[in-house]
Amino acid sequence: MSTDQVSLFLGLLALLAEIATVVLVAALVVRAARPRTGWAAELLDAVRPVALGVAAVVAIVSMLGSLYYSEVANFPPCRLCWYQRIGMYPLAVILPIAACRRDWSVRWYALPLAVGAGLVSIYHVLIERYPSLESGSCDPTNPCSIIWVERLGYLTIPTMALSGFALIAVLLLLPKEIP
Amino acid sequence: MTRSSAPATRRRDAKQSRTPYFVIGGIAAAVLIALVVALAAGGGDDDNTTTGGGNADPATTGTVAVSGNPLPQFTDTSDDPAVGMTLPTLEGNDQSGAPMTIGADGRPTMIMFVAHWCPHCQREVPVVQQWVDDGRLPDGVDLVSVSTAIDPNRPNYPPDAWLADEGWTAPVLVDADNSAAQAVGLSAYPFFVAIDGDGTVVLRTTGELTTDQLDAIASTLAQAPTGG
Repeated sequence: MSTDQVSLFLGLLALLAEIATVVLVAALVVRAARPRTGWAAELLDAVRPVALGVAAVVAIVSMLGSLYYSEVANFPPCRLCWYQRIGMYPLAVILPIAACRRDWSVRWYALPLAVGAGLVSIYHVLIERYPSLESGSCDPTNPCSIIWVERLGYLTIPTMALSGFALIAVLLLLPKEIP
Repeated sequence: MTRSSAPATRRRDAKQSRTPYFVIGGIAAAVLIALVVALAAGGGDDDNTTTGGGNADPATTGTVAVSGNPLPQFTDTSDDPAVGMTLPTLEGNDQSGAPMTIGADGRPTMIMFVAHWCPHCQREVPVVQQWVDDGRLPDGVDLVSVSTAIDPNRPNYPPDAWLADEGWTAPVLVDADNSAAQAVGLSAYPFFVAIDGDGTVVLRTTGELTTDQLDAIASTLAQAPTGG
C-alpha cells in the first residue's frame, strides 16, 4: 500500500471512530435523560462487553498509524506529535491488558491520558489551521503547523489522533453496570 | 409462573451473549470496507499536500555557491549585528536553470527566503505578490526570492509549481542544500534580507509581514545608497 492509500484507510477509520463517538455520546445522554428509553440502553448493553477490547484496538491501531508515518513514510514527528504519542502509546499497552483482565478500573489511568493527549490534539489541529497561534514564522526544522496529510478535507494526523482519543475516552466512560 | 419465565430468561441471556459478536462483526465489516475503499481509491491527496520523489529538475536541485563572509545567525531585528555587514554573494541558478546571482549589483534589493512546506510562507507569498501587483514596490528597488529547504518528502512539493500557482513574478534562486540560507544567518521562514546597492545589509527580519511593513522596508531601501 502506498502512503496515500494508508492515509485514506486511516482517515476512514478515524471517520468511523468519530461516528461511533457521536452515537455513543448520544446514547449516554439519552439514557441519562430517559433511563427507560429502549434503543440507548440496548446499544450500551451491546457495546459495554466489548468496550475495553475496542478501546485497546483503537489505541493499537493509532500507535501503528503514527509509527507508520514516522518510520515508513518518513514524516518526522513534531513536538506536539510527541506529546500525543506520550498519551497514546501507554494506552496501547495498558488497555489490552485491562481488556484481557476485564479490569474497568483502568479508566482511572487511561482516561487522564486520553483526555490530556486529546486536548493536545485539539491545540495541534488549531495550529494547523491557524499557524500564527504557534508563532509568526516557521521553525526551519519541523514546525507543528505543517499539514503532512489531509483527507476528506479535514482529516489530518492530529485530527485522526483526536478521533482515536475521543472514542477511547467515551468507551471508558461507559458505565460498568447497565441497570 | 416459574416454568413460563425460564425460556424467556434463556432467550434473553442467549440474545445478550450473542450481541457482542454482532458488535465485533459490525466493526470488522466497517474496517474491511474502509480497507477496500482505500485500496480501490488509490493515491492522491485532496489538497496541496502532495509528496513525491526527487528528480534532476533545476527548480528543485540547484545549489548556491557562496563567496564572502557569512552573516551571523539572526535572532532579533533590533540590534542585529549583521546590519552594516556585506551580504555574501550568492551564485546559482533560477528555477529554469539559468544562472542567477544575488549580491551587490548597484540596486537596493529585498531578498525573500521561502520554504515550500512552511505554512507561513504559503500565506506570505500571495501577500507579497499582491503588494507587488498593487505597484507598491518602488521603481528603484528589486525584489528577488530564494527557494530553500527543498524536500520532496515534505508537503506542497515542488516549490516551482507552488510559486507558479501563486503567480509569483520575482526571480527565484534555487537553494536546494540550504547554502544560501546558512550564509545569510536564516533562523526561520519566511526570512527577509534587505541590502543596499553596495550589498550592505540594511535589515533582516522573519515571519509574515504586513503590506505596511513591506512598504516600510521598501521605502528605507529606496532611500539607501545605490552603489557603484
